[in-house]
Amino acid sequence: MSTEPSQREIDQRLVEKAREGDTEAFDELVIKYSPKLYAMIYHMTSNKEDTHDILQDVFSKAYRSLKRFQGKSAFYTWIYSIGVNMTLNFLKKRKRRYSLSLDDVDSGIQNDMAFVDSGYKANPREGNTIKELQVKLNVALQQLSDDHRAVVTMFDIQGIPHGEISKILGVSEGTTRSRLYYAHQQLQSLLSEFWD
Amino acid sequence: MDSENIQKILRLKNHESPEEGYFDDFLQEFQCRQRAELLNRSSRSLFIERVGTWMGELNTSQWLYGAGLAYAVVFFAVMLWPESAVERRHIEAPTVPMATSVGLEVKQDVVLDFPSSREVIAVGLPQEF
Repeated sequence: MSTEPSQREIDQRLVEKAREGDTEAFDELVIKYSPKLYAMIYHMTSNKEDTHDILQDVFSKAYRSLKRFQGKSAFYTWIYSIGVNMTLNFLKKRKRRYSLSLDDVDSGIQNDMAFVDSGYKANPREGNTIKELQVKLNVALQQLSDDHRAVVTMFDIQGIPHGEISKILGVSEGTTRSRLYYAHQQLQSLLSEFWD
Repeated sequence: MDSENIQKILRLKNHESPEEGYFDDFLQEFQCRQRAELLNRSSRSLFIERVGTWMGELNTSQWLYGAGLAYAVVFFAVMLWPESAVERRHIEAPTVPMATSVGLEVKQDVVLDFPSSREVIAVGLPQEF
C-alpha cells in the first residue's frame, strides 16, 4: 500500500534539492507559495508595487537562508514568517518616511474578479458600489495597527488557524486571539455602514 | 455586527488577484535577480566561501599537512628575516681594549689610575684625561 507524501514531505524534498543547488526545485516552491504570500502582503500594504517588491525580497532572503531552515516547522510556516516580518518592517519604515494617504491605497487590483459576476458587470452602478467597497475595505484595514492587520489578514481573510498564526508571528495563541478580538472591535465601527 | 459578518466581508478580498500572467513574470524576474546576485557576489565572499567549503572537507591527515606547511613557512620567514641594526652594531663592536689600540701595554692585575684633570694641569701634562 503506497502512501502519498504529505505537502510537508514534498516541500522538504524540494528544499533539500534547492540546498544542493537545484534552482528549479526552488522555482517550484516560488510557484507554489507566491500567490498566497502575494495576497498576504497585499492585504497588509494595500499597494501592489510595494507588494511586488517585498515579495521579491522575501523569496530572495528565503533562498539565501535555506541552509538555516532546519525542517522543525513546515516550509510554508517558515517562509510565511519571513514574509510577515519583512512586511511589518517595511510598514514601520513607510510610516517613518511618510503617512500613507488615500492615494497610496489601491482601489483594488486591476482585472480582479473581486465581487464581480456578469450581473455586476452589466450594471455599472453596482460596479461602482463594488469598487467603493474595495476602497473602503482597504482603508478600514489600514486604520488598524500593523500587528492587528496581520492577524486579521491571516485569520479572517486567509483562514489560517490561530495556532499556525502564533507560530508564524512567534507569539502565544492567547496574544493572537486577543489581537484578533481588539481588531474586530475596531472593524465593527469602521465597517458598520455595510450593515446599516 | 459580529465577528462572523466581519469575516464574511473581509473574505471578499480573497477574490482580489493580480492580472493574468503576473506570477509567470514574477518567477522570471526572480530568476534574473537570483542570477545577478550570484554573479555580483564579491570575489572576496566567494573566496571565503570556497575556503570554508575546502576546510569543511578536510580530514585529519590533510589538517596535519596544512599545519606542517604553515610551520615551515613561518620557520623560513624567521630564518631569512634581515638582521636588525642593533644586532649589527653588536657584531661590529671592538673586542680589543682601548689601551692596546693606542700602543700602551696593559698588565693584568694593575689598576690603572688616571690622574684627574687638576693633577694633570698641576704637572703640566696635556689635558687628555
